[in-house]
Amino acid sequence: MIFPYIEFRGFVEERIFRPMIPVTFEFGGKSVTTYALVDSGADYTILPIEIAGRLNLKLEGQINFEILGAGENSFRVYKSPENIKHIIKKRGFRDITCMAEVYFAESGVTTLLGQKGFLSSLDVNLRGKKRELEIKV
Amino acid sequence: MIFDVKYAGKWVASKGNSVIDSAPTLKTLTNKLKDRKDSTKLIYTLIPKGLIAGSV
Repeated sequence: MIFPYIEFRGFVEERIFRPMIPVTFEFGGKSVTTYALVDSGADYTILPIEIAGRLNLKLEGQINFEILGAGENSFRVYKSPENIKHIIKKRGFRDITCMAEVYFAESGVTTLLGQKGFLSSLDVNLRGKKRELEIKV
Repeated sequence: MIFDVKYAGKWVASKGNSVIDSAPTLKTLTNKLKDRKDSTKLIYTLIPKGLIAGSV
């Protein structure tokens, strides 16, 4: 499966291209599809906490801890109580699915697809010159 | 897909290469779009407020 990078216009640089793919997160009959950033530097998959609400996930009492960002800034994440189904769809291809734990960030500003559970189970190639990424099972 | 800076910090609903709507919170956005037949097929994305590097 090949996905074009997502373009962001008007930020500090006029055009920013990010390796983001549409991922459907599904749990208990509820689902949310969102563009998620493939982040090889992230240990875990991290979602904005609002998505937990959409999936009817209760985070009270869940394992939570601080994660460090690149600038030593930290933010708190909550572990999902159950593994969440990840579905990657593209017309003409069989869906790619995996079950993996995710973490929800209180101050999340985007969805990150990290190593544990996602990148560790797939082959992902970044084709920067073409501004596209390829995913193989 | 292209997201303009005017959506920075907002939740955006998109379909294909088009932005359908936006709102400050996901709950507000999904409420605005709940009567659309395709509301469950839209892509709901939180747009970063600026440049990002190894953090959320």
